[in-house]
Formats: sequence, structure tokens, C-alpha cells
Amino acid sequence: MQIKLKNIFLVILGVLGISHFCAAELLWSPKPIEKQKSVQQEQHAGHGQQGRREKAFYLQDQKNVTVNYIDPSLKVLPLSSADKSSKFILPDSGMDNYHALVAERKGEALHESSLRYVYMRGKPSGYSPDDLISNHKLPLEIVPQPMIREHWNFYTNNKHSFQVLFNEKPLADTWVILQTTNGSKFDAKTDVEGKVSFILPDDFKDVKPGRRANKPQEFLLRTVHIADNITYKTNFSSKYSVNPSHWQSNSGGVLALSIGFISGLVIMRRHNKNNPQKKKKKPVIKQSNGSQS
Amino acid sequence: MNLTIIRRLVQIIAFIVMVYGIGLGGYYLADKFSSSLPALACAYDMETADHCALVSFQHQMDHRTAPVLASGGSFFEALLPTLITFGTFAFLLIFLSKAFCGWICPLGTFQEWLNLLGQKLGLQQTETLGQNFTSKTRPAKWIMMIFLLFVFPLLAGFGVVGHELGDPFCRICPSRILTTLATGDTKELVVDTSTMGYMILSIIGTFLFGLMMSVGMMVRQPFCRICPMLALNTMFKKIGLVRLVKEAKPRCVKCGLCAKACPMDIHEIHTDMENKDVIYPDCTLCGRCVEFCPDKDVLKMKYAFFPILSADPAYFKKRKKAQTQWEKITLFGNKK
Repeated sequence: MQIKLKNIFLVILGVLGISHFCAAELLWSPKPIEKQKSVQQEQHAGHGQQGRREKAFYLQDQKNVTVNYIDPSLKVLPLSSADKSSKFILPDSGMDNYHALVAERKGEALHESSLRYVYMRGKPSGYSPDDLISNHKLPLEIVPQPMIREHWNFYTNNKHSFQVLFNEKPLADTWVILQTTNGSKFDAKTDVEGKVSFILPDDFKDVKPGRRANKPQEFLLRTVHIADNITYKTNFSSKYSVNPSHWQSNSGGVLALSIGFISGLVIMRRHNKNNPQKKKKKPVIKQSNGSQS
Repeated sequence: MNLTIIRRLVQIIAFIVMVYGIGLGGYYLADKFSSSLPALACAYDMETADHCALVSFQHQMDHRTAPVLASGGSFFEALLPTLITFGTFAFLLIFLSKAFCGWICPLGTFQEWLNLLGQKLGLQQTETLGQNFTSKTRPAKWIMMIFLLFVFPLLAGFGVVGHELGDPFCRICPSRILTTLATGDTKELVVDTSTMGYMILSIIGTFLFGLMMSVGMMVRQPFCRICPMLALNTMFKKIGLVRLVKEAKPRCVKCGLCAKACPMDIHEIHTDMENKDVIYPDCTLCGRCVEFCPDKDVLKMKYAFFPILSADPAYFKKRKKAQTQWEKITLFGNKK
């Protein structure tokens, strides 16, 4: 029975034509559609002046779409692409931390949406990113649990959790599909709390040593829910990076730690040998003006 | 109940909050807190409730001050974020002064636990490293502060040295390994082979952690003696509300129990007969000197004008007895 339900769900996704990052899907990406094959690194937020440079995202299939940009204080700013292209330039809210990029297309029988969080540089907002992440933005929404912190990434081989909410309530027993631009595809079902976890696949080819040597790729989570004769489709996209364990050795770390530990024992043994514990002796007192470096 | 027991309870609570804080207040508690904590709660620990100011200083030098200066910006613009961090840091120090080291810092707490373990294992304890050795090592914390927190990150920002030196102190800080390991995360206990610079720094970091663990079982607070946080806290010690006051008496000359009790080997606490303010640069405000002073009101720990603890012969007797009994207990049977 379970397999049949899964098949039905996958058929629905197939019918809706969203089998593989296709152009017909409402989807945020850091590069225009034609350049998708070589997804480049989403600009590193950086710091200072560099960090506040213009950021733009591209929306595939933007016909009849409403786009909202939500800052950390939950202020909603409607966005439109200036030149009617797929490019949306994100305005500078002046606030630091995550901003939400929400695209929605409402039809009579189909409601589509795409969500992405973008880290923007600015002054400390005074708001916790939790406020934005947990804020109700879409009827069907994939919520990262939790959203990664500044300077951290979604890494391959790491387990990341998400919650699927429908009208702010957890959606249990719902299939969620994970796809990456490296070609991996997985699915999993939400639990009673609407939560689902994925270990991001270690699917980068030709991994080179060092974080900067490996450009991040994109992953996409998508799910579908049908209620009141309306099909709700939503997705959540983000970049993900190669796990540093490719060039970091735990056994090397344990070895260096062990050498340090043994060295400490040797040093202390020598010290104690040269300075045997003396029997009680009156301390040598020198007058001091109390200066200390 | 004595001051040390109270302090150890505070340390345990602080350790839980600093290392596992998201379980108490949510994933972004650190953002609500300060991110400029004058104690080594590591930002690399993904479950911390707050993180230390040292990572902020290094990043500001590397990513803000140097790029702004390189592009012809003003000194004020370049240093504004650093000044804000200094401001928050100083604001926090008003309330607890250098007690952040002796009461809050997870790495300080861990070193005390290591020393207790060493005692209980019956390892020979080194009560003091000697006046000469201590005096020679004291400048290390200032050198660490100047070069690892400011100079190297600034040079990395200008591109004079490699990006590896953008946050050199964090690369070798034992708290990075300790706090992540405490949450079951082994990703910081590594040798990083991506570049020669990262490899050298990661070997130094892991070696130093191992060294601190074994030495810490026989010497009190080994890393604290060279910690740049101690130097930074010293810069603002005058504004702190926690005070350590000495009213020297002639008997002090012959005593010296305060210096013997001090885990940081501050001999001046004993020999200084003139100064009333005895918060020395190496002091962590643990209060042991007050506890082990046998003369009435010679040493006092105060919060602003309110006394926390004053030296008292009766307290001293009880404290000494408790210490003697405690030291007799080992994991291999009680000492006679």
C-alpha cells in the first residue's frame, strides 16, 4: 500500500512536469536558466563593503508570479524584475542576516511556490533569524529545521532536517523529493510532526582540497499536497558544499593530540624530576610594588 | 558550603549554557545574547548559546578593517565594527570583570576538571611553576593577543600573508576542539591538509590541546596563563564591579598562603604590601586567595561596595580542613 501511495505521488510530480530542475518549474536559482548546467557559486556574502554588493536571483517560469522579499523584521517588499527578464535584484534592506525570497503563483486548481533564504549584509537587525524562518509565508512550506548559521553551509554527508507545513500545521506522511544539480535524487516521507531528514549526497566529482577550490552546487526539495481540489506545489532551494572531511583527517588529529598528550607527560616528568616536591618551606618574600606584566 | 563550591556550581551551569545552550533557548540564542562574550565559548560549537569576542576581532581585522583601509576608507569607518565589539565586551566586563575567566569560561572550567582528575588519579601535582618561569611566560598572552588577534588577521586582509592567518587564534584555540567534542562533533579534531598553512595550524592546535590535557592534570590552568582573553580582560579590569582588595598587615610578609592558593601563580598577591587593588593581569577572580587568607579582612572580594567574601580566620580553618579532606580522597583509595 505504501509503495502504491509513493508511486501515485511520483506520478503526480511527473504529470506536473517537474521531474528534473526543468524550466517549467517555479524555482529560484543563482544563475539564469541557460547557465544552469554550470551552476556557479552564489556570491559569497563577504563582509564590509564587499558583502553589500548587489545580489540577484533568477526565477524560472515567472509568468503570473507574485514575488515578495521579506527582511528580518518581517517587513514584506513586493519585487518585480525591472527588465521583465527572469532576474530579480534584491534591494538593500540595511539589515544583516537572512532575508526570504518568496515566489507564488495562484491558479484555480494549482498553487505553486518557491522559497529561498538569502544572507544579506548590513547592520545588526535586532531580530532573530528564527522569527523569519518560522514565520508563515506560504500555504505549503518547507521549513529548514534549523536554518544553517552564518558561515556554515549545507554540507554533503551531513544530515539536515526540514519540516513540511500546510496552513501552518505539520503535514505528516508526505513525500519530499531531494534533487541536486550534481544529479542525485532521493525521497523520504515526513513523520507525524511533518519532519523529514536527508543526508546530503556526497556527489561532487573531482573534489579538490580546500573549501574555495570546490564551487557549491544547488539542491532542491519539493513536495506536493492536494486539498480542497487545489494542488499545492512548493520547493525550497539552497546551495550545498563539499564536506571538508575530504581534506581533513580525524585520525591525523587524534595522532597530533596523542603526541601533544605524551609530550606533556614527558615535560611534567622531567619538571618533577628536576624540581622534587620540597618539604614545607617558608616562602621567600620580596617587597614588590605590585607591578605585573 | 564555601566560595569554591559555589563557583564550581556556577561553572557547571555556565558550561551547559555556553556549550549546549541551544537546547535551552533555541538555535539562534547566540544572536540574542552578545557574540562578544569575554570567555572562550566557541563559535564553531554549533550548540553554543553564545560565542567569544576573539573570533569577531579576527574577522573584523581580516574582512573589514583591512579591505576598507586598502580601498582608501577612513580609519573610523575601518575600525567602527571593532570599536562596537570592544564596547559590548567592555559593557559585559562591567558586571563580572575578570570573573568571566574564573567563573564562566568553559575552557577554564575544563582545565579545573582536568586538574581535579589528576589529583584523584594520584598524579604528582606541581603547586607552582616558580616565580622565574611564571614571570617569563606572562608576556605570552600579550604577544598572542597582539599578533594572533590583530596583526596576522590584518595582514591576511591586506593579502600580505595567506588566508590561513585570517583567524589564527581560533585555529589553535583548545576551546574549539573541547566544545565541539563536548557536543559529540569531531570535525574540529582534525589535521587539515588543504594547504600547508592550514596543515601547520591544525597540527599546532590539536597538539596544543593534547599538551594542555596532560599538563593540566598536574599544573593548574596551563592554557589560561597564555590566553589572549586574559590580556583583553585586563585592559578593562578597572571598570569592572567585582573588586579584589588587600589591606596588608605585617603578618602578610611571613604568610604567603594566598599566593600558594592562587592557581595562576600570582606571587604579587602575597608580596605586594602597598596596592589595595590586587586584581593583577593574570587574576581570574576565582577568590581562592581570599578563602585561604587566615587574617581577618586582609583580602576582600567585593561587588561594587558590597562585600562578597572577606578573609576570616574561622572561614579559613573550615576551608583548610575541607581542602585537606578533599585532597585525601583519590580514585585508588584515601591518602593518609
